[in-house]
Amino acid sequence: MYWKRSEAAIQETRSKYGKLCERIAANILSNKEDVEECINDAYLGAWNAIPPEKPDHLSSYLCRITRNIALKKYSYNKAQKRDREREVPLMELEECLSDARGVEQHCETEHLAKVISGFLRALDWESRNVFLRRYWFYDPVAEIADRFAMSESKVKSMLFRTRKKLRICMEKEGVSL
Amino acid sequence: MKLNDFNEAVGMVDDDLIAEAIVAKRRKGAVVFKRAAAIAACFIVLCAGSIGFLNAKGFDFHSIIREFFHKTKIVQNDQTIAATVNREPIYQSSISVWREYIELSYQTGVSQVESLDIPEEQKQTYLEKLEDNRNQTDEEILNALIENKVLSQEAERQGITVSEEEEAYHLAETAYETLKDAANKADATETDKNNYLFITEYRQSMQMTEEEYLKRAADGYKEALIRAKLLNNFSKALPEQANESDTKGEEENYIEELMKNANIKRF
Repeated sequence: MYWKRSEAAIQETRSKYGKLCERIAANILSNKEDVEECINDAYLGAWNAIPPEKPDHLSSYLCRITRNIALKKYSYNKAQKRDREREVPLMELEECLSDARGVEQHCETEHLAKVISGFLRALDWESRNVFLRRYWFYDPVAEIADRFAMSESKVKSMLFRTRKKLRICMEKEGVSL
Repeated sequence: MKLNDFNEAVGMVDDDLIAEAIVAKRRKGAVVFKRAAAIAACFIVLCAGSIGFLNAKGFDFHSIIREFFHKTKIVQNDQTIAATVNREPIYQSSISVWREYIELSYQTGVSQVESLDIPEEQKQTYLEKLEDNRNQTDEEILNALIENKVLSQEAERQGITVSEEEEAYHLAETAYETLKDAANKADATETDKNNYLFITEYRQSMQMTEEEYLKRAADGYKEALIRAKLLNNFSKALPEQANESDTKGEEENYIEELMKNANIKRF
């Protein structure tokens, strides 16, 4: 429908992926209006990008757009001191990093993304998806525990171990920390 | 590196990984079901099958399993009902026996891993898995038992059977004889001896003859085989083009549906 430029595409996207996108946005932003605005921007982003883009996984593609827009909004709100509630998942990841600055950031980020993808592929199914649900989707620990039928303490210890392994992996791969 | 840059990199991980995480979900009980499958060969009759009790230096396997059977004998008397599945009871004693077995697996497992000549990192991974297994809650164990019961009942409803003589009994006998022969060989390893010792201790604690043991073992195998047949029949009915991951997903949905339709009461 996107390729035919049918306006029903957005409606269809909303009905199929609306809840998924809303959840991601709501995990990042606390304000309901911000969430709604973010989702609408995501649909518009998809409409403008497809074509020429032809994503293999439309769900992942929409999630990614939503996540990026929500994070931008989050940064803006944070700068304006409007939203400090959602910092926890980000802060957890900080232990993988140091305060070093001044690297060639874009190349570095792309390289790092490849390293992280490789690292995640090498993990077992459960650890990989628990990590992604926490740090990609920003799901609360309680929801992850429910989703994977495990206790919250197990989720926390699994995340702790994965972060530790990620740090080792990044060091081995020569990522500037 | 700034946290935001790192976060951006996490956001750029491959699409297929995100697609997997979108749908990733585990049914309650499935965790244990999977783990249970891994140790079922041993537990099957408390049990009948091959175990994997390696010998570890300085580890008194004999007294540990004696204590294990002593404890399981006591807890088996607990007739408190933990749940019913379509009015069939699951006793608290089943959960307790599982719990004891998990503890035994943990103790023997840790001892084995520590004695292995492998890199520290690999050891750590094994130890974490053992720790995770040990951390199962009673609720998780009960969920697995409920799931097994639901599958057994559905198999019975569909008239699925196995011939005890031809399949289950034969399986039990073969497993038993294999362990016995290995333990009695002149060059038997400590592992071979420990595996057989587990069964002889079990027989002694239950005061069973070999024949009684084999019948009991065959019952355990029979139930497991019937459940496997049920799932196998279901998978066979799926379209031919279904790949392994589709089949697994469909199987999980099928079990979930059976669980939903069952009358399950927890106490």
